[in-house]
Amino acid sequence: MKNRLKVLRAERDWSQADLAARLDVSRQSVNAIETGKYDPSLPLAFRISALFGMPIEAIFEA
Amino acid sequence: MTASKRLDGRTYMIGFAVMALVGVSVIKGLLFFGQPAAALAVMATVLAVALSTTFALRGRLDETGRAAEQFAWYWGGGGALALTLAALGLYMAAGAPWLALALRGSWSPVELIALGAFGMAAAQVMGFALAGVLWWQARR
Repeated sequence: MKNRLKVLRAERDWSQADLAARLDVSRQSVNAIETGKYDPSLPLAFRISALFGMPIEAIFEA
Repeated sequence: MTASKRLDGRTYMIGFAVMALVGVSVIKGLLFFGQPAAALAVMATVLAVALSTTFALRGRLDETGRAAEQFAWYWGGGGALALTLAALGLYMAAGAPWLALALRGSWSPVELIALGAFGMAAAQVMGFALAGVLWWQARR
């Protein structure tokens, strides 16, 4: 699954570790999601959506 | 921004694999030098440490770490169990060659039963560790 997580993170000048702390996940999880190698659960996708203030479909695409 | 309190699932799995490898190597060494009682004691200790560490740390894993762990138990642990049973079946069908050479030292029947039980558990632990590390390697 493709996503805009890396772009959104860069726009805010956050490191992967910063984003991981904000989402309460490990940095490795952020990396796996950003590279499209792991699809987050719906609860985590909602947390990401809330953090960036955008709808899920604006961040993730099938 | 403070660092995430979540446990790094990749390091957790690699650490587990290294501990399992060291434990199994020590056990194999003790068996090779004909020390069944010491080998069984080490096996029991390694399994106890591995299981208690896993249960103590797994609460700090995030969903990716838990997904890796689930994959590792299902495919690694289950796969290793199936492979070990298949290998044991083939070995017995072949007449159990070199058994006396493999079992140096004097073994009591209870020690032999314990060796079989711990051997299966050790195979599952190794399978778990291998599958977990491979899961993370595929997602680097």
